[in-house]
Amino acid sequence: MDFTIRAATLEDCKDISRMILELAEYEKVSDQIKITQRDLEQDGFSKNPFFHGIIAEVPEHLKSRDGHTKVGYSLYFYTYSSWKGRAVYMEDLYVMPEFRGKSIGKALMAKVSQLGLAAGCTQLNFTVLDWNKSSLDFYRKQGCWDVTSDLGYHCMRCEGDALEHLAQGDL
Amino acid sequence: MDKFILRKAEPKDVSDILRLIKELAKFEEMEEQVVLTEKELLEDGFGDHPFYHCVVAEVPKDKQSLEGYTVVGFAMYYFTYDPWIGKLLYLEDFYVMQEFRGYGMGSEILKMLSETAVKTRCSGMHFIVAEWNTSSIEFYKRRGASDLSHEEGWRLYEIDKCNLLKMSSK
Repeated sequence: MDFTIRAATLEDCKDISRMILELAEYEKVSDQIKITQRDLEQDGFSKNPFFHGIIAEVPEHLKSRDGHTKVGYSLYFYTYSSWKGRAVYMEDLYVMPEFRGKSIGKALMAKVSQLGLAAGCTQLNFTVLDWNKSSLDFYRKQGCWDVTSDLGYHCMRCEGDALEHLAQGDL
Repeated sequence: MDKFILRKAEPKDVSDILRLIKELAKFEEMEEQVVLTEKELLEDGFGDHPFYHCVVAEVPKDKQSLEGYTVVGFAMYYFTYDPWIGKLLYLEDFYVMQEFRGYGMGSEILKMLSETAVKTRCSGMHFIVAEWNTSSIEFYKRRGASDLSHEEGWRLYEIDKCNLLKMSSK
């Protein structure tokens, strides 16, 4: 399949927003989305972006059934390991179902790895849902290992009221 | 021990920050995994585009540690992004030296970080904890933290440099 991988631009936010919703629907959590297209534009394309994006695009004659040429994306940002230094975190990786099996996902991930290495990163981290067997298999084939399973690290979150109380020093 | 201050880390603190990183890693039985150097900490935290932010807890000279240190606790954090809810504060490391525990330093550091998160309009604060670290898990759960790995089934994955190189050259 003929496709290109390139850096996302402000104009891509509409399609990124559409695909974020598609990915959330796949993960069965689409009611949790609070971020709008406008938020993405502000947070990803201002002077100090909070994330970076890459897009997979196909030519016009290969567009999707709904007429889209932007058929996959990845959102990533730089993080820091207190043990090893610079790292890159892949927040989202998604390819529309009708374009799967054509190595687009692999190409998106390869691009994130290249960019990470170029920025001096020594690791790429991301999270996967434990029921997502096809993704787990895909990632293991790329040489990933399960930190939660092997080292027992659990992802924790503090948000909403809990975060506000914490800020006020309430216990 | 009512006398301690919390402040933003400065370039001169990198030596203490690395010492505390190693102490925490030793507690996690991972000391040999720390390959970061003071030079990298300096470049990565205090250059034009910092990869991390750091706050340190400092005591006056007359309260210094047994080995003579006045910087006795720290937290390293950075900002991440969730495309569903926006900005997040990610707590990478959080540690207070053993001999300075029980004086509220940990709580004060966490309070300062949460204030930062709220001020910068973050939707939440994320971090990871080892499942065997029950005292830390209790500390966090008391403050309203939820275990995403347990409740939502998220598993943290890693690809190391060797495999990154393989992937990027495909």
